[in-house]
Amino acid sequence: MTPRTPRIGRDGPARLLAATLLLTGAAAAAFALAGRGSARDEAFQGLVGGLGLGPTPTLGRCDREFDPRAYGACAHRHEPFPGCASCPAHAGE
Amino acid sequence: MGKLAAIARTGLSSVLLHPLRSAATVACLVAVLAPYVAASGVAAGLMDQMEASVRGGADLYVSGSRFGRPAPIPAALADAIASIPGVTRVTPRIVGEVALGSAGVPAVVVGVPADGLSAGAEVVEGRLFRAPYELVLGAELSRRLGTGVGHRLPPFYRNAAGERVCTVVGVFRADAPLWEANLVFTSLETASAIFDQQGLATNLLVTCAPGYRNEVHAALRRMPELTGRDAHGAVGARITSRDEARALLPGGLRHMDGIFQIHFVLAFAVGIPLLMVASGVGLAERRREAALLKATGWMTDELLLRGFVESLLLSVLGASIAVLVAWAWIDLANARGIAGIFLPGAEPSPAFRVPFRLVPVPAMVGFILSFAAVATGALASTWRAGTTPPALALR
Repeated sequence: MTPRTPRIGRDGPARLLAATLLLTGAAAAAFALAGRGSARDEAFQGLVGGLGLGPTPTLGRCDREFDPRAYGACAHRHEPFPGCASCPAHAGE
Repeated sequence: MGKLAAIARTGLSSVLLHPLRSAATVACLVAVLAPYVAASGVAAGLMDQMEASVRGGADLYVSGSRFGRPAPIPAALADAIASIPGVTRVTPRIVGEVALGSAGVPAVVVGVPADGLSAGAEVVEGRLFRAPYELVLGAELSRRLGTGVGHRLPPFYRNAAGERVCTVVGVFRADAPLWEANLVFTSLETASAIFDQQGLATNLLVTCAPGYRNEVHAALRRMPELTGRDAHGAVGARITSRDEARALLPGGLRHMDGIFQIHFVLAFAVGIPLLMVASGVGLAERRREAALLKATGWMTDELLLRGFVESLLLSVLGASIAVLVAWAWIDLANARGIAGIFLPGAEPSPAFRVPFRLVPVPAMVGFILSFAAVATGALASTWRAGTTPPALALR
């Protein structure tokens, strides 16, 4: 019994190359389209006086991860254990 | 040249001749690259929003200090600071945390003087607060509480002077920066009432005339009212300048980006052997194919060129699909289901816009590494078969 070999049309490689170029073009277009930093960012910051310098949208995890300007260092920096060991955001850092 | 093109064309045919092997290789590439491209994009988008935060913020942030830690500062000091030459505006601000609703939904209260709001209404659906006890809620908070513009919130705080019902007059638009998500934005007096802290602010936001920032910074450090004593003892001052805030950016982001990089290294450590196996190492099929071609007169370098073209095509395909998957998932679908991985504390499907900007360098580095892994798998196998007598390789 011989293994089945897929049929490749005469223009199969050309089609494959075209599809690859198309996908590459789409990926390049995504680089141009992604990222919508807008005037709304500036308007929001002007409204609240500059808020947010970290990756978390809440104060619950770590003050520093929200905005170190508002609160300075991590509240768990010295206690109950030194070195932010009890901080859920950057324990043991 | 024509011969080289013809050999390269057989590399393309080779991709089609082994659809399962090609699909497995591309799938491995997408699985390894897409999370990396997505994470790099979120980190870059976040960096953009942080820079906007620094640009849109005050020149100097002044807060109190007790026990060497940040502490509230009397809001009345704003007048004394405003008299320093070069200061154009001083805005007291309260930032604190409360729990809302029966589920105790955490929210960030930000209070600023209502008369200082000159612009920014475009980021709000509804309107900004004008009277006391009027609130503007973050999009995520509004969704979690099931409230909207015009709704009333029953008292959620304790105050010796009594509690009031608050009215939601606006909701931040979802495409505002991520820190709006859980915000309760209100007037300074309402925030004071919520925390029952009259006459205090967490920060004084100082705006300076161009060129005066350093002089004002020095004057603040010498200001006796800021570093005096009260009934409880010595009160210190913490002053954070715009430059210091900007200096904090890379550190915070490096922390987050570093976590992504470590995960990617781990993913790649698993992915490389997988890619090499999928693309050729140990595949008897590839060995037989090379031996047959060798038997029909192909040279080893021609076999390697064929394998190189096949690997390059598969890598380009995989990298392109990975970029499109990352873009579609994070930018178009707003990181549905995975936002909490990138942004700690966020809901899996957030109501706010997840920051995202595709950056070419990490994507290119990922592609080069992937190509190296795929090509190693294919070329090592081809080289071994190509340097072995065909009869032996076919056995």
